[in-house]
Amino acid sequence: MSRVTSFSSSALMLADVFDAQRALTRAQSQIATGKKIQKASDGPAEVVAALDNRAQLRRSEQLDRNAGVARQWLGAADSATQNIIERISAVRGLLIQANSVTPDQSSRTAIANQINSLRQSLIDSANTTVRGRPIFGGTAAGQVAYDTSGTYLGDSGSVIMPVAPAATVQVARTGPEVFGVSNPSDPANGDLFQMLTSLSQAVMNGDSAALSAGLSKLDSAADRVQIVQVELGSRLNQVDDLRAAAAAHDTELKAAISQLEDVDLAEATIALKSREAGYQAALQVTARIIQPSLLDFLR
Amino acid sequence: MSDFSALQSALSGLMAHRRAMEVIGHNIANVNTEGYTRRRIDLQPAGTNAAPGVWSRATQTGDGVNVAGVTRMREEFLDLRTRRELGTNGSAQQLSKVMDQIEALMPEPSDTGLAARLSEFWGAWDDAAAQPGEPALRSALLQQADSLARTLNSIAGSLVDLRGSLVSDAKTLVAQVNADSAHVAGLNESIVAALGNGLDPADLEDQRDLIIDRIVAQTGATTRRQNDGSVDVFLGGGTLVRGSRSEALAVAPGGPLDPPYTGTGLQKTEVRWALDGYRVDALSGRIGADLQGINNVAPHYLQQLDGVASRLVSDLNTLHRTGKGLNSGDVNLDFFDPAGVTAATIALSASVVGQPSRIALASGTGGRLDSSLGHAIAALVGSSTGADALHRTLIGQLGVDVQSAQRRADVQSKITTQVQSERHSVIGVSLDEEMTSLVATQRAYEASARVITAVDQMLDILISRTGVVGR
Repeated sequence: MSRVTSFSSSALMLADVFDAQRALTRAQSQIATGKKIQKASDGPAEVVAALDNRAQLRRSEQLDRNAGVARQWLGAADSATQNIIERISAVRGLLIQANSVTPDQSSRTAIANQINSLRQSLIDSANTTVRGRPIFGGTAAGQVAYDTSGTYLGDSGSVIMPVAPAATVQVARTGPEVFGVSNPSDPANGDLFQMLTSLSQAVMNGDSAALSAGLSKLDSAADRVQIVQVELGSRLNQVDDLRAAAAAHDTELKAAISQLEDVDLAEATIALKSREAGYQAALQVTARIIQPSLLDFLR
Repeated sequence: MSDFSALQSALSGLMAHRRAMEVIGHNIANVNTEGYTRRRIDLQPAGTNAAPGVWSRATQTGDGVNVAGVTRMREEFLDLRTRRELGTNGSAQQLSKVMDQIEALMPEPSDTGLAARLSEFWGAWDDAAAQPGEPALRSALLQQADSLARTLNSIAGSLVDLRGSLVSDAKTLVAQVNADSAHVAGLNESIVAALGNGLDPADLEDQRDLIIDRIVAQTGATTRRQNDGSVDVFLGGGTLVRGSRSEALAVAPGGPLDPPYTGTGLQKTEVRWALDGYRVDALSGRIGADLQGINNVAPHYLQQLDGVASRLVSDLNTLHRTGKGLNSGDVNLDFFDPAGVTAATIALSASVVGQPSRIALASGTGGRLDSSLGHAIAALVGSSTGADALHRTLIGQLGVDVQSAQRRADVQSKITTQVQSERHSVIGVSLDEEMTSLVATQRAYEASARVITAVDQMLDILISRTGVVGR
């Protein structure tokens, strides 16, 4: 450049000062917001990765909520099956009592009544609900799985909950799977409730052959419930394991998001300080250059 | 050669340097005037024969100094170069601004943007499916879906609004360019007339060149200097200003957008010659960037957003139609209105709006409280071809585009400052230089005055003290 005029030099110096000021403002806003990327253009690749991680994290939190619901169902099923097993063994004791000695009619009636009331409380357990929905009722709508007479009102649908990416858990079994399939033509071979009705009838009648046969059937019914309890209990463990794994993964995701989005405060502070120094230097130099003119030195 | 000719020479020196002082004063006074071109006084010796006669034998020493003229220090090459950069700069700065505005419409990553809305929407499906019989959760799902649809509507609406504000910006600028070109034509006429009358049109030329710079920054026009002193301004093969005539421009709607944006159903905006209605091609500068924003950039992002919306509608409806709601007969229903497949028109279908029980969470073969369909819809969040993936692609691309527009604007602004400063190093006033000239001129003036004194004393000797013999 041959000549340097006051306009050309001041325009260039002003542009440099503006640059320094912009860099300073940017460093300041990074520290003030704590965010390294605030909009897509701050780092397109980082933003896309951050969006992906955020979506994964939200999905994972959602699945964790699902797992919470699944845990409720499985927990309720666990205690319900425990109760049922206890009641079945109580019935078993009564049957042995009725079969071993030869009680009189009044004791038989008492035992039969006890069996009947245990049957009612078994029906109550079979109607265990989670948030108003019977857990052994399949996917049918309705307040109960079994009505008071012991008739199954549910369907054969299974309740399945996604609890982790690509992992689903069946959180309940249907009534027939737990209590056996009803058999209207042969109640003694039907579901647990039909069986209990026919057994109490057998006690009343003192039918020892039916009682002996009933005992083994009752044992296999108890086994069936036990298998369901073990199965659902192990699912409960599985859900807990998956939740723990998901929590660990969430921590990693949060760390990754933070690494992508958040500013490293130490680094940013140093950057801010050096920008500040740069800005001040630019101002000082500009002030010193603009000032002198030949006018200062002429008489 | 008479005795008094030395006085005449000295007088011409006084007058020439007084004139030089005036020019210096004018320069100093305009040191901060935008568009002012510094003047330089050209002196030449007076009195020498330009073509000496064959028989002339005079020993000529000259008759002093003449002011040959006052030169306006302008280099046309630098003018052309600066103007080219001014046009590109106007376009780059405005385009970067448009991209910034579009980016501000889609603030990501954030907890309030479309990505967060989508995640909440999918989550609401899972929550509702976890308790399919709970009406409150179904209502919450409808709320989330509605809020998602409205977020898309609002971004699309803002993009259309942005186009509208760009159209009005272009209209304002075109009106300004029309006024400016008429002004340039008028100045051209005055300048040609002044030159014809032997007047100095330098101040008029400064004014005209400043206005031309402004026209160029808005439109990217090119200029050519004519021999009569006027400057013609050309725009995309047409003539904006020729001599003392100027043509007007007009902003007009130009039918549906060109492919691939025809599908958005938006109208194109063009700049045309007011006289014959022909379109102005190769428009650059700020108006060119406005048109690009209106006809390309905003429609591009609108189309991408429409892609997200239409994927959402088709994915949701395809699955939703296979399921059933709580009550019998709630089958084969659409979740989103199948007629609204753009971001601007996406809405809940009339089948489910206000009727949460009709949302299909159960599969077609499951029981009424089956939730497999609800969970299956919630799992769409992870689809690699789903709405979320499309939106992420859109944001990534937007980021790259904004970044490159900013970089181009930054680089162009540096180049423009550089060439402007180069031009200013020629046309600008340097106070140091003027001061030096001032000192030299003042000294020359003093010296000329001293010559007069010396000649006066010589004449005094000749007149008063010679020829006194015998007095």
